[in-house]
Amino acid sequence: MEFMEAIKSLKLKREAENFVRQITDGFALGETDWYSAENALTLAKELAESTVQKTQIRGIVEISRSTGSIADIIDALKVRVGRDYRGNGWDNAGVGRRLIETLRSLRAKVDEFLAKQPEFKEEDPDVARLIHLQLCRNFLDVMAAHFEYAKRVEEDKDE
Amino acid sequence: MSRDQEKIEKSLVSLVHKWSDENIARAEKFVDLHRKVIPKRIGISQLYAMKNSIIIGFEHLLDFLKSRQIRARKAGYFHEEGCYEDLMNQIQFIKEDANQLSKQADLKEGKQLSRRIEKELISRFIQHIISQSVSIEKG
Repeated sequence: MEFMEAIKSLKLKREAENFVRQITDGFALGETDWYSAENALTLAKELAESTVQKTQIRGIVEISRSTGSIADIIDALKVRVGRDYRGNGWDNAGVGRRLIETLRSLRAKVDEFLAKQPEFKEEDPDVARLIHLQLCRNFLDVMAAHFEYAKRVEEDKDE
Repeated sequence: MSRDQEKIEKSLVSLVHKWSDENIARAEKFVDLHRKVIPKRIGISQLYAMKNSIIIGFEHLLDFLKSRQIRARKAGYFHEEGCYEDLMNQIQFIKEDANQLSKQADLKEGKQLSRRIEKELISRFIQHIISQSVSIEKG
């Protein structure tokens, strides 16, 4: 079920939206200390310096948009990390593994938020997972945008 | 597809996704526990063969696992034999989970749809094992 569809019946819909927006702004502005192990800017820059191509990043973003499961996104990333036999792409300096850990770490922030708003879980027991999924999608969206920019800078350097 | 069916289908997909997110850690733990054999003795291609055999049917997968287990026992590969045993136990637990999910989704088509969920959950569990194996094979 899509995030917006899932929360539309919740009384605290606005709070959920605001929370997701606030965290996503944090991704875009490169804040790190309060929401996750790594920030989207740094990861995007590291990926841009590796052999990972734009189409591969777009592929991961597409998976995150089309699935309703965080496990599917993590599986897709694990396979990409594992198949980087030369270690200069998804596994360059462990960037893919750190991305997986970062996506996982977003759950802690969701739990912290929901602990202050127990009404959410009473309304929908799956709400934590759905907010976490939406944060993963937004993180990857922001990271992909930074990546496109950083990759272009890298390409300009090579020319 | 009627509206009711569509609604059930949607809630089913959502339940399967939820299950998948909750059980990825179980698959990771499984791979960690059997690191002596996965992916060295039980390779990625064999794991994909398991995933394919569940598409044919649950019994087909069990037959496949049993035959592999017997082969490992005869060859004296006890860690491998234990891994197959554990996997068969995990699959039984997943079968129970599938039953619970079909009750939650309030299925009218009963058995047939319950089997579909069973296949989907087992297939997802094996996919989690494959992804974890691929990533540790590299690491």
